[in-house]
Amino acid sequence: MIRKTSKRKLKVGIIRFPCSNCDFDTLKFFKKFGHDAFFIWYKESKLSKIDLLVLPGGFAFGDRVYKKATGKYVIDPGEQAISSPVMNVVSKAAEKKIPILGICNGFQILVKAGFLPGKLLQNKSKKFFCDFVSCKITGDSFFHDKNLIGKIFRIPVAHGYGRYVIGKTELTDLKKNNQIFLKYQGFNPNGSIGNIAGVTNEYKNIYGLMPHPERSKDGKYFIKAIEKYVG
Amino acid sequence: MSDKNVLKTLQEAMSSEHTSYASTKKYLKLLPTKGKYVIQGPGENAGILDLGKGYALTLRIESHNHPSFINPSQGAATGVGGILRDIFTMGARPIGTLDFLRFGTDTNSKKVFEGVVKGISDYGNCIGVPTVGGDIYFDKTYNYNCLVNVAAFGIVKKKNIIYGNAENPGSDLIYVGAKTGRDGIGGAQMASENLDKLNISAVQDADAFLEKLLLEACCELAETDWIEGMQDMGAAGLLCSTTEIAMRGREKTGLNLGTKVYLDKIPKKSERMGITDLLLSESQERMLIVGKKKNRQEILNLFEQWDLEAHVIGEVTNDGKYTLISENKKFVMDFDEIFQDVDKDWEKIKWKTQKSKHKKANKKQTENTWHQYDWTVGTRTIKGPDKSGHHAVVELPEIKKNLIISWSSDEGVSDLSPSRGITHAFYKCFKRIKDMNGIPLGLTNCLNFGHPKASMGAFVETIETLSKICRKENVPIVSGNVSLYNAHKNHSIKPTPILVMVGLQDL
Repeated sequence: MIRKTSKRKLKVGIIRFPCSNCDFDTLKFFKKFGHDAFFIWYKESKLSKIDLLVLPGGFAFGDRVYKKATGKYVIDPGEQAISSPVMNVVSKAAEKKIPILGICNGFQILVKAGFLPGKLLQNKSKKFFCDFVSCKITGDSFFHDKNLIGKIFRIPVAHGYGRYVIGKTELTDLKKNNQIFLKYQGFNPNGSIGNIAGVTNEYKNIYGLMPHPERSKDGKYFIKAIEKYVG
Repeated sequence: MSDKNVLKTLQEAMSSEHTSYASTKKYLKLLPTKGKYVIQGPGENAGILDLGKGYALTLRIESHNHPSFINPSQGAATGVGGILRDIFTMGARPIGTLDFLRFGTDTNSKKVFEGVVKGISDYGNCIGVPTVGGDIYFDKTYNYNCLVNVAAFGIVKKKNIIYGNAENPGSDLIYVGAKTGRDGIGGAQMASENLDKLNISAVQDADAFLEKLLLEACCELAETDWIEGMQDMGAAGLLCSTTEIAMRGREKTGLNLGTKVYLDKIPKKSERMGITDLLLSESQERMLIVGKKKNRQEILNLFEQWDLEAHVIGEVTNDGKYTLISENKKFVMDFDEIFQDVDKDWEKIKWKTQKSKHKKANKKQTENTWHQYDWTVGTRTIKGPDKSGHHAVVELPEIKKNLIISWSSDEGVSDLSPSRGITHAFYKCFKRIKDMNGIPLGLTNCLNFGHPKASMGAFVETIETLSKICRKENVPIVSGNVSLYNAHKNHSIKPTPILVMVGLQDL
């Protein structure tokens, strides 16, 4: 909460899908650190002036996809969200190399839309899992903050579909490019390959992770990294 | 259907135990419901306690026992949905829930347990309200009647509290949410009988996604001055909500209010639904809004923004009648015709002790359960289910204080002595708040009993003792629920009262 007066106030756009249930948590999180955070509704398709785009956690569209023929739905997190008008905002932001952060369901959506590599499948236990887990900062770190590398944080996870999977060659590439920035330490809550909890894109401006930094006391370290990178 | 038959069916629905409290209301009157912090006691969608600094806490507990036994996953999920609607119907944002689960010891009970936890997990996690605590017990007494009690808490600015009433003739009745279908017809009656026959069609389908949209829309509506009341459609659905808002409004304003409902305007999901089907359907995730006519368009726009279907289905009148209008028919009824003063008397037989083992779930079972619930969403959970103890601590940055929620059942003691059982439960809650230097504000309770034939003695003993202690310690009861007929053939469950107390802790 201690802020330097010289710090630049970041414009943080938080995409709100129907049922993005971490919308207010994420908004509060950025506001707590003095930033100008606001919602972007999923029907919006124009990119406004922002410093950071965030896709929060939750269950966008209830994690559902409706089958046209029968009206019945299947659970497939992110699938419905990626055909929203707001994905145009995400594309524009990605093109302009504006930093993008996806948390939990936001990570699922970024992966589904192809902004991040790999896939997120149902937890190995087939059950939702929520608890604090230990996570270690690895690779080129979170938003390039070298001070964080090797640090371990206790961060809550709360998801049913967080098992990260990726092909062998792609995994080798991820490792080679230092794109795996967060790994579960000691306990893997979902059966992710290589204990992967968060990955970035090749250019390293788009970050996705399953744990919820906005729910953690250690959230300030994540904010600092963003501030350094963006500001 | 003739006018007479329609009226008769409606009367029956409103006199079921679940909606009329026919056997218990004379005893419930004994409970102290007023106090320094009480803004709203029993009789509304939820109780309301004053938190200070312009904020209030809404709280309520409800059982969903019968449906959960028949269809564990859907039954428990609709239980969560129903209690959350009670909270946001009052304009409050839900900030936490607790689950109290009781299962038998046979093989079927294991399946019921799994299904119930899945139902709670699927619904609560999706809607984003943290499960901050609760407890699980096993006892042979619950082999044919599981118990699923869910408590919920919400926070609201005092000036934004919405009551379940109409206020002015001419106001709109706006229906929003799911379409009305055949699911859950007869649910209230089902919960008022023994569980001997399994009636699966009386269990509703749950839709957490739709509920989340309703929640957000209603929280936004609470910030406006466009509406004068809101009521969710729970037991006996449309009938109960369209009559209750008029009855409460009559009491509050002293005006001769009535309601008029155009049945053709009700959005339907099933074909050829008759008048009573429409009125009694317990399809979930539906709300009734009493909107100011001049703000009709704004209200409809707000719902549209949230992708919700909303329709004006009727209006508030000044004729003191309940009027139903369909294409070619008109039914006009008096409220006291529909709500007859039903009163059932049972012999207060002394409770016959069952002595079966009453066992708390072990650490592994408990942990495996709360791991499936999101208990950290909302970022308010200071003490959740991860640490032991029959209490939770929830942060209220709005008033710079912590909310202590403590809970206890009789823990099996009521089987030996209902009076000792409820005393045990009360002091477990009370002492925990006191030990943490909290100020107790009030209580909500769920009283689960068997068939009144066998259990009325225990019920009355429980109420009388509870009433006495609440007065002595100055803790009022602001809301609650009675669940009778937790019985199978001649077997009634042990008396199982569950108390939830809230207190404030200075930081």
